[in-house]
Amino acid sequence: MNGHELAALLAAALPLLEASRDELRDLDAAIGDGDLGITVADGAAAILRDLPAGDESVLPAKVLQVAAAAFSAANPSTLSALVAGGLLAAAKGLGESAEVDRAGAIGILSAAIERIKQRGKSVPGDKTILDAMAPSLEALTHGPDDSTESLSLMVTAARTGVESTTGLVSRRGRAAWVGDRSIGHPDGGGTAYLRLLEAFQRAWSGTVALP
Amino acid sequence: MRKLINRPGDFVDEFVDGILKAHPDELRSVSADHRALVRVDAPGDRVGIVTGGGSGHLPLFLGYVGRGLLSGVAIGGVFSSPSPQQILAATRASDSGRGVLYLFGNYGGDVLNFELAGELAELDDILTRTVLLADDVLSAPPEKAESRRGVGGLVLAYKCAGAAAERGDDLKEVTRVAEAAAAACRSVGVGLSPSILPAAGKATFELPDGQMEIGIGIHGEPGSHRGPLETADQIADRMVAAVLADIALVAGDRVAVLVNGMGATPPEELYVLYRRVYDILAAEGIVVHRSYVGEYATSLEMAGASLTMMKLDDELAELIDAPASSPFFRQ
Repeated sequence: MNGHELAALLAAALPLLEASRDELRDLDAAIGDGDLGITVADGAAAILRDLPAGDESVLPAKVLQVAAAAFSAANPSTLSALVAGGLLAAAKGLGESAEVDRAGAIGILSAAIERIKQRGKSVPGDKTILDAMAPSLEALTHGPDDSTESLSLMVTAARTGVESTTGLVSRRGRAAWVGDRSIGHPDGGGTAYLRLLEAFQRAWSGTVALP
Repeated sequence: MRKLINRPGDFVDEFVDGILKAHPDELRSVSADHRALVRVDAPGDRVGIVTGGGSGHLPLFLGYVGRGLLSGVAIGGVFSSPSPQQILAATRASDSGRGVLYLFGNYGGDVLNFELAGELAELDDILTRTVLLADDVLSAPPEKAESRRGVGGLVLAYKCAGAAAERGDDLKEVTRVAEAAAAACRSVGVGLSPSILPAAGKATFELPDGQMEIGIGIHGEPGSHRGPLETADQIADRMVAAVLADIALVAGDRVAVLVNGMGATPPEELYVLYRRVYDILAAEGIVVHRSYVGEYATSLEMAGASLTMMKLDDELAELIDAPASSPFFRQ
């Protein structure tokens, strides 16, 4: 996948996140401050606005940089800063590569996870977005070469990861303030990541040609 | 709650608006939301220095944007971090091409947002460096000194780094000076009554009448000792002891001393504290090279004070003596 195709994949997938606005708001309102729906939906819309035009030749790293800047500007929050930082770390890892292959995708996801761990001072099990990201990376790393099948395994792994957070106590962010009351609600950030993967899956199977 | 405010949600926008209207010859806004300000002649031909943090601490942070001090500031909501975009706006307007130093206090949200702002600035080919203040000695033990909060030491670090930038030092040198200044500062605070957040209308912490809290943070973070209110001399003794337990000072050493009011404590009381601090130091043969007594880093209407000491070498002494001026600071 070249930069242009990556931008096209985002352009196809991100509009689907608008449908998750209310779900994410409600999840976050239960244990946080309720702005997650805005962060994700407005952030996705901002990325769509700023993506390079279809006929422009662009490096994949540049697409991620544009996405990072747009997402963090749309609605500043801890999650948007962490996600944007993750995207920039991933862009750095890609460097001047013109193509993202399977190894490239693994590189993007691991770089993002490492940066979020380090900057958010959290690990899987803290009831954060990492609880969905880390299992999906596992699935991608050990998955088959076929992209469609890999994506499907990633979605399943992320979903299992998010479901596992329902029984956990939040240890990071505003949700940590409510302590045990966070038990019984799945993590909002993890759910947002799951919805993003599902959107990629739909875009991949429908509107975007395989590289 | 007895405050001179309008809608609590407009508090920050309105005081910033007032400051811009009062000091148009010294400050200008560089973002549509007026949460990024720079000195009126920024970027000039200097290395930029940008700070930022939550509102509610005036003169921190924006009060130190000025000549011989900082280039720009990003202004967060009350006790909350500015956004990466606000920091980025201040960064762009502060960069002359010679780079920008981020100099701010060690708080999780600020660190996160300044890190991201620095990365976004890098995409614009703006070189940034970061120096954190972590001078509050009672917020973590010496073995965890890097996790301490930044408080009054910021003011003295701004003064030294700003003087270095003003004399034309490059980014590497300004960063080195800021690091040296940050490493030379130690602070300790005492709280006598809490601050009240405009939006919440409630006290940030509970402190029964007649009690004091030693080691309190500028957002009301708990300290290391709570007990009956003592005399000014006893409190000064505790504060000096806490600082001296953390930084070695011997007879002949020179220091800058900052006795800072938290917002509701009158200057008379600050001078009562300062008098004792000076006498203890003099008895030890430690020379007060320069003193600052007044409100420099507040916490809304919290009553209490903080003591900051900075150990000076020849370079820091020269920089702390350099002229400076902003709407809140003249020397």
